[in-house]
Amino acid sequence: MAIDIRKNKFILISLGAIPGALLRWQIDEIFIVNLIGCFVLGFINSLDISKRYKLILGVGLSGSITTFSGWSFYSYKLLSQGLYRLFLFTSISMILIGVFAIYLGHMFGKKLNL
Amino acid sequence: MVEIFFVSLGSILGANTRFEFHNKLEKCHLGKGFVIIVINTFASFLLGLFLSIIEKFSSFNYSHQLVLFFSIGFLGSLSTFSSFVYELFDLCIQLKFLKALKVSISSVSLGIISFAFGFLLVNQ
Repeated sequence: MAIDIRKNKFILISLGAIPGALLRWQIDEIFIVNLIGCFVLGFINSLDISKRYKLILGVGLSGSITTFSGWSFYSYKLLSQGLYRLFLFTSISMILIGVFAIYLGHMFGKKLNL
Repeated sequence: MVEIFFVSLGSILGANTRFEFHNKLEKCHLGKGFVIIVINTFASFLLGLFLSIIEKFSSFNYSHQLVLFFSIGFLGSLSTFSSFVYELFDLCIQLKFLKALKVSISSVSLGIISFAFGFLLVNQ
């Protein structure tokens, strides 16, 4: 029984997840990887492409290059060291810049669709 | 090369688990924003628990490989920041700024609390 790679969700998600996780591991900067992932997700979601590419690049790549658990760990460290202002500043800025990165990705994607 | 293998294997399992979890939770009609909060909170709790356990077994021969597989690969890919921010982006487009603020505050707080809970569960 042959597996059709083009339709197998597990394989499609894995194809994006592997480079995503390896990039996150190598870059090792939560702020940067999260912003790259947000831009990619905004870009991919605005493109008129098939579901298979959205699984690879949206669910797989963008989902794996970004991490929330690592961010929770980073925030916990800041709070346990008493760096409350830095925690507030990084949390707010990461969320705001993340939303802006998704908006930028959307804009780029929409221009390519035209 | 072995390190790449462990991170990759963890990411395959993590990303696919996230996808399956997401589909299952969506069927429970929890609300779109709430689904990703549950997944991220669960992953943060497991990371806290794992880091405290691995600290106790740091002399264990395969602890580095376990960190690569579970912490960087699996849990890093199980949790996602981009989908969480995408929910906020969606809410902002619909001009639901108050709900966006509530989702972001609850996500961040639950993430840190669950990480701390997992971490302190073993480290008492």
